[in-house]
Amino acid sequence: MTSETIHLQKRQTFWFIVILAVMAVTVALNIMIGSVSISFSDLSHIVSAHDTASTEGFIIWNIRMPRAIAAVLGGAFLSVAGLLLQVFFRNPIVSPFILGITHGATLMVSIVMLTGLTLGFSQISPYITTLASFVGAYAVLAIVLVIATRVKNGVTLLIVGLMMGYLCHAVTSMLLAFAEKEKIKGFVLWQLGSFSGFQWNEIQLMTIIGGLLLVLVYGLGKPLNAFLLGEDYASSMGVNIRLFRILILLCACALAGMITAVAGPVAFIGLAVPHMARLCFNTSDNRILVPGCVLLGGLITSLCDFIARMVFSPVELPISAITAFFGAPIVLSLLLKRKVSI
Amino acid sequence: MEETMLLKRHPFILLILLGLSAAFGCNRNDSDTFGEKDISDISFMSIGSFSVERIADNWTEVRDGAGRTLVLVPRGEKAPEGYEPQQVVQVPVKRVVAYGYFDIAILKTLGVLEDVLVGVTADIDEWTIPEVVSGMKSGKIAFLGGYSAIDFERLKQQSPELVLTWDPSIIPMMDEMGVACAITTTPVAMCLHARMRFVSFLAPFFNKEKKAKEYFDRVSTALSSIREKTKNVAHEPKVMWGDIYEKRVLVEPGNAWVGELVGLAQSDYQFDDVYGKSCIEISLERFLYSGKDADIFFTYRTEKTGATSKAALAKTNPLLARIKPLKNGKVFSPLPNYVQSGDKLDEILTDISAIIHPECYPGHALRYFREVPDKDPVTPFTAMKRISNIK
Amino acid sequence: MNQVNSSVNQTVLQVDHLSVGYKDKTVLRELSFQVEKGGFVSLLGPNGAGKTTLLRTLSRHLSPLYGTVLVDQADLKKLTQKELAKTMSVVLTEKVTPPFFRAWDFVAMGRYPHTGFMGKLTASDEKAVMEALAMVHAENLLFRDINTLSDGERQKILIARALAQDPAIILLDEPTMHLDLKHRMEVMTILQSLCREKGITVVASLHDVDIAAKISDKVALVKDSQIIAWGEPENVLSTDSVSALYDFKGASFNRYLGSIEIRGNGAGKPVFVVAGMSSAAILYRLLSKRGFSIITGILHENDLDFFVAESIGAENYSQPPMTSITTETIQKAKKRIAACTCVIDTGFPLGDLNHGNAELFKAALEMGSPLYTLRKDDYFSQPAPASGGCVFPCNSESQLVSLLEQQL
Repeated sequence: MTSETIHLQKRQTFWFIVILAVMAVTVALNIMIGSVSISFSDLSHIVSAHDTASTEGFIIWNIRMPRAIAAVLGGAFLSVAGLLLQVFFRNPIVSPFILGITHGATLMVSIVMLTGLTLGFSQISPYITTLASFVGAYAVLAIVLVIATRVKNGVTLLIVGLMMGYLCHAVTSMLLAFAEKEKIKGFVLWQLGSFSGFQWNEIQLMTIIGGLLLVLVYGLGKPLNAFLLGEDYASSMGVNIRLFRILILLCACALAGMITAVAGPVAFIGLAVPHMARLCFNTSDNRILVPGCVLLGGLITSLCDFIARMVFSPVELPISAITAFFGAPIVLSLLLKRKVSI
Repeated sequence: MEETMLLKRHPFILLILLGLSAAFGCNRNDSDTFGEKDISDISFMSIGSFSVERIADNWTEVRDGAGRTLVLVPRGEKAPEGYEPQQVVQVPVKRVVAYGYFDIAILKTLGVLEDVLVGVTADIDEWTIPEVVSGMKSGKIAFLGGYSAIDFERLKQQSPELVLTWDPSIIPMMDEMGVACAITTTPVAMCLHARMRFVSFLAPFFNKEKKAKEYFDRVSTALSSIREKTKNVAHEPKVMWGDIYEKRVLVEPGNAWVGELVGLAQSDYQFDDVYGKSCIEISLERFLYSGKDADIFFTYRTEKTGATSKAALAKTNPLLARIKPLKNGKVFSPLPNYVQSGDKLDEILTDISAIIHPECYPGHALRYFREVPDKDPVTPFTAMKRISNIK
Repeated sequence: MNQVNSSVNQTVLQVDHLSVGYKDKTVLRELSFQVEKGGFVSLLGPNGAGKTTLLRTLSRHLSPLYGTVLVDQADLKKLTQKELAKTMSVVLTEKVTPPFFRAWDFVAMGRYPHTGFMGKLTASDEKAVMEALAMVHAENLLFRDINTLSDGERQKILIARALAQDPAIILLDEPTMHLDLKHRMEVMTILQSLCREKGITVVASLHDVDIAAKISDKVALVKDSQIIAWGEPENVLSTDSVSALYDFKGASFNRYLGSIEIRGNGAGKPVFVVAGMSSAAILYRLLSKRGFSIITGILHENDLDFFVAESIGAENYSQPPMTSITTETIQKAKKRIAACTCVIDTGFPLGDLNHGNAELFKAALEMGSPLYTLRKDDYFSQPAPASGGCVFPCNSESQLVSLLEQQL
């Protein structure tokens, strides 16, 4: 088109490549380095021979690799969820958990962990915490979708989501007040999300469901862009607002809910990465930002997971603390450099 | 537990504390080794972060776990100059409110529990200490509400003279009420020595220095006996202490008293290098790696709170199922009375030693731990389920 | 479907018995009108009259409560979202400023109904965008971030976006609100050229009656839950209809002048302005602004001063056009002068038909009223009049009025 468009496109391509490369390096680091030191030669042998029998082999194949992938997927899904909701509400300080998804998950987990009730979950699966948080997150998702079909504007939905979140939080607090001290330990641990402990079957599930959702989201890129101008302009340009609202909320909450279910609440990624992506790719075009958030989110989360694991190895720090600790200054500095508000 | 929650909520406090933990580390430099000197001879004693100092014939200055200074003055006598009114404690103290199980167990050791305890932060059905149960039944000891939600009105009604707690946020309230307050926890885990000596910190409050000495001697004797019995063992078992949760794992840090004891009892504590306050999260891979040759695994949780069987633990976190204790080693979980038996530290230490070296303790019956079975027991309910499945 | 009146132009928008509003409130009822292709329709009316509600109903952002709307002979209700988007585009009042949007990106959004699945722009799309930008004279804003644009520039970009959508109709809600004069004029001329050159039908709600009168093909006066008048501005807009529309108390619309004058409140000191030959308009306005009560004469009814005096609400002594001033009128005027605090002469040329006004000067001086004059020649330097009347020559209207205020 013009030189400026070409320049922008070149710059965006450049960043895509750089982010992809750095992410690949980070993932490799996450696999190679851990609290148990495994030499590079051992590692190459383990990888080539697909050794899962030895302890080191098991650690590489069944602990580090799933965790590395989980971190990338977690970052990707949370970032896209955050992007979707920021576009939907046309509000830059929206996170994927604004609609009460995490609070719903936390409530269900607190019920199964702090009270005696297992609600029959143990019959379905031994992983009652994961299952409980799935149920909690997706129950809130269902409520959100039902309400979204009935309200006229986004702010109402936002307030409903916030109120639901507060309600769930209140009930959780009450359960905590009456819980036995031994049980609180495990619950507090869950509340600090982590990518620890993932197994291959979970990774498969996440990849399939999340992958489908991401493809759907990318396909909605055109109406998403129209939505940036507001619902009135979007509908005047031909967007089916009612259907679109449902799809966006469904994708965003399904992605965020899934991560909360399998990893617990992971803060900040969904809020910060879309901003980083906008600043990095210098655009609001969601057809660029969706893949951009996938890569950038995967990179940032992998990096934060690495830091959380290794800084005080073998002690694990909570990943939410790391994401906020490093993420907030980065977003601030990017903003100040640009001298422009978002 | 409670402290963990506070720290987990503010992980940076934990970070900073870990960094500073060396400074607060266990002080083994004071003059006495296990069991020798008479306490009344010592003019200054430091117990980890705590300290007790005789500043005059009848005045004792103590420093609590948070570094706060209190001065103990016999009832009716004048307090020395230079102390704020809320720092002065009239001894012997007659009415005490206590948060922690350990503090209460120490009160029992000092023989003052039935006389002085008037308020607790756990309800009656959570107690295994008979004196507390009967005190609560008779109405002498009041349940003041959960530790995060104290009913200060009720507390005031009990007219305590001293509150033993880990929660510094109540101090302003206590100052207002004119009640002395002592923080009985430390920023980092108490080492074994500090745990044993803690009784000497509480003793001057009740003029029970003699009882404290008896306790200390008892525990020292137990330790000597442990060292003696296990001196010549051929094999040093590898020991783990922590707990397995869904996807996560916690361990007892090496600088805590547990880690020390395990070392003393001629065994190898697998998490010696881990530094922290108590129950700290580590990576699964490290737990797995340390566990692959471990012989014994102690859990935090009791049977009631989830440590029902090896199979159950393995099912909770299959990635850790291949640690040796869960396969062909041994797993032990505390009995309900464990956490409230600080006064029986000697017996607990012996139990632990007997677990680690059963060959040195033939016929020893465990009183504070239970060996976790391989599988969950078949109850009539599960049996019926199995039968209906077969059909 | 109704039969369309046979006219050369096609009816692009037809509204029958339309009621618009919300579930619990009917804002406008029984609207029926039609708009020809390429026409410029202005909706005029006070705030809250329902102009926005009507526009939103026409753009299908709101459902009609009753009645039908036909767009290009098709029922609005039955069109698909995409079909409607290809026919109609909108410019709304809401401020839209997404981050990192360049003017180009913004206008290109207008191609939405024409692009494929992922919205990629083809060469013809790009051409349409450039043409839209050219029509609004905003090519120079191409790569500017829209957040850095002024209100006027942004409005042009909004119009360009609506234009890029390639519609038959553009609906604009208060397009000149908040704009400075330059941009207001620019926007109006752009809209006019859309109608003339591109044959696009424009329906806009406006507040500037005077401009609307000059540009619109049809105006709709919206008030009291109805369209109280519909038709060509030349027929529909009169002093009375505009005053009724806006409930003017202190202003009036003059259809000949095509502008609005502020009426004086008639409570100030009375001054008699002898005027005519279109010399007094500025003075009238200044005196009115300063709160004087104006009595003026003797004017001919085809004089500009006559129109302005009427609009301003001045008491007016007048004569039919092309007639000499009669003695009767002069007598009446003289009587009136007696009650005034002074007399002002606007320095108009004296000729055969208005020579009678010279009598008024004489009378004023004889009565001893001060005479303020803008006359440049030395008309008053003839032998001094009998009694103590004074003549105060001034160079400009503002000087005259300042002097007047000082002395009175």
